[in-house]
Amino acid sequence: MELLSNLTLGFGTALSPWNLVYCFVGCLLGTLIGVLPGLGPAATIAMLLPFTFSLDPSASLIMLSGIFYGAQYGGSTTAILVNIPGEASSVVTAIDGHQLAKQGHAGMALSTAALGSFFAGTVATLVIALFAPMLARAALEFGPAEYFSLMVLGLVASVALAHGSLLKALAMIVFGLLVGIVGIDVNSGASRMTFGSVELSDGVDIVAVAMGLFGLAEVMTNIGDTSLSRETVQSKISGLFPDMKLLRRIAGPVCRGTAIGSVLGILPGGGALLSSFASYAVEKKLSQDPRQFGRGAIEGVAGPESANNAGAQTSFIPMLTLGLPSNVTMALMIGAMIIQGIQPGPSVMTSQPTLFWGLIASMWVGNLMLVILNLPLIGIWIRLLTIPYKYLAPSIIVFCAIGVYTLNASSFNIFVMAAFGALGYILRKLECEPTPFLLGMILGPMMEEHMRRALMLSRGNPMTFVDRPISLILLLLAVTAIVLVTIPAVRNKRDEALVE
Amino acid sequence: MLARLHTQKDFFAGVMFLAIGVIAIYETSNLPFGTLSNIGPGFFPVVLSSLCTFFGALIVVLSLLSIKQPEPLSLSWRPIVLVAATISFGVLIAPFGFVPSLVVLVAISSLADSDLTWLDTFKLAVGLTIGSVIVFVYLLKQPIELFGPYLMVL
Repeated sequence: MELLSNLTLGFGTALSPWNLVYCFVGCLLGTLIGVLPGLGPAATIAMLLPFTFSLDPSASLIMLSGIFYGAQYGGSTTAILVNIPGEASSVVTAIDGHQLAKQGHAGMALSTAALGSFFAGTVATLVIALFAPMLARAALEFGPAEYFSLMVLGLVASVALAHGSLLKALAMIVFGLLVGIVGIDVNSGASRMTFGSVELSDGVDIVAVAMGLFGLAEVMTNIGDTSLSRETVQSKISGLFPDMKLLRRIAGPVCRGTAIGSVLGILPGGGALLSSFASYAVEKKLSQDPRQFGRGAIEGVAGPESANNAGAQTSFIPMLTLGLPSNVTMALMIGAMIIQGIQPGPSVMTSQPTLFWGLIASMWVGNLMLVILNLPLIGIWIRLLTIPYKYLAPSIIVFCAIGVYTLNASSFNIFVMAAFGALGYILRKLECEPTPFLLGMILGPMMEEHMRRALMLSRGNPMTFVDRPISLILLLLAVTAIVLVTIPAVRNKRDEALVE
Repeated sequence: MLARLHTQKDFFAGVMFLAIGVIAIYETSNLPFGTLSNIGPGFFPVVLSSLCTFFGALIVVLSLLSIKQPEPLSLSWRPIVLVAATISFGVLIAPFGFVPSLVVLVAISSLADSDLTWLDTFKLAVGLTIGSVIVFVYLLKQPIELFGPYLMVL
């Protein structure tokens, strides 16, 4: 019954008129930007983050999560209609979704994606409401040593599940941790790696960095990429309202996708990406006619779309309960919480119950809004899709620049964004993923603090990290993840699964 | 194949991490290291920069040992224009204000795309400037000066 009263509190917050407005505006803006080709959810959130600073903490997080699902949803629309996945997790949707669109079944693919996502969102919201408090309560028992080890595990797992070179990803984490601790050390007052700059003594602003790495650098990589102005499916979209036959056909894949996504989403790193790939593989195996896959199988849209939405949603669990980001979006959410003066961690649930439960309830409200909003508005989204990239590029730069400037009306953050834009462009060319960098950057100061406290409590005995059983288990898991990924056989399997 | 080792890219990535590590060691080595029971401000950075140097060196060595064909690295100058445009905005906004620096930002960033004609650039500059002024200055009430002090003197 505790759950019921919590949810009542949550819906009370989420359904308050202003919060509904912010949720709606978030969903709308998120979809609007997410639909534009070549802009993923991370860039969308980074661009829209400054809009939320003036709101109170609950409203700002509600709007940000609205932006997040909106962007995610917009990405699927782009994947189906133009075959440009806005982000890695809708790559799978593009395979069969675009085939369906080409055959004139775009309406069916779009409504399947919408309904599947809504169902998955509903289930995932319940999963969060049930498990987040349990996890948060367990995490309250954690001491600094456990926290430190948990962060090590989170960072390592996030790169083990991603694609690309493990070694480069580990180096990117360390680089991110280093940038995270730039500025005045709170304990000693010593300035670290500021290179004599006054502005750097406050540290490097995570929003400016994210806009550089995911906004500016993305435009830099995309410019001149002719594949972004591919032809859109122009035929009139019909059949948006599914019949019983279709519903019966997609019920199985949607349920399985939701289950896969809800579980995998909690894992650091892979979340939405891994679950959509896993769901596609499962549906292909279970199908009576696997040859249909790749040629427009509706199951290949229903399963992965539900999975990535469920995964995106449950990735909120580690963020809300442990204060650990499992992807870039969550890192930015944590950044937003810190700006709002809330220290992310297990105590958020008890110290800010309206915020915690309001956010959870608003997830469901947001998902409902997206279904109601998007099917009728699909015509507008299609028109947005036809904007050529050459007009988009300067517009994105303008929004990023203004957004960063409004952070604190200083030019310095614009220079930070420019620098990280250039860096992000080079990193992409060198095939170094920027995600581990950003995760490291946000965890840097927290990791140092927990390490300092743990060593202080153990009177300088570094064995404290392996003497405490929970900490030991977490570290062993981290080591196992690295070893598993480096074993050639597993490595090839992982690459196959992620490349396919 | 996303994950195949591209040796030349690896080599440069390794050199980059190596350089970052060395610079960070140099910058933080004079900070007090502290003791294990009370670590100083230098402890964590030194551990991290050593790790960064180590990973960088390892990546370089592995890239040199790899027998795979190096894949050339292709960088083009056009994207760099966008960085220049962003910097110009940062430089111009305080002295000249929002409107002039936005126009310059759009004008320079349009150079990055060869498909844009002068007319396109003009329309973009006008449209984006009017749109941003409405959204950011009038709707969101951001404290941004439309025209800066340098223009007021004239």
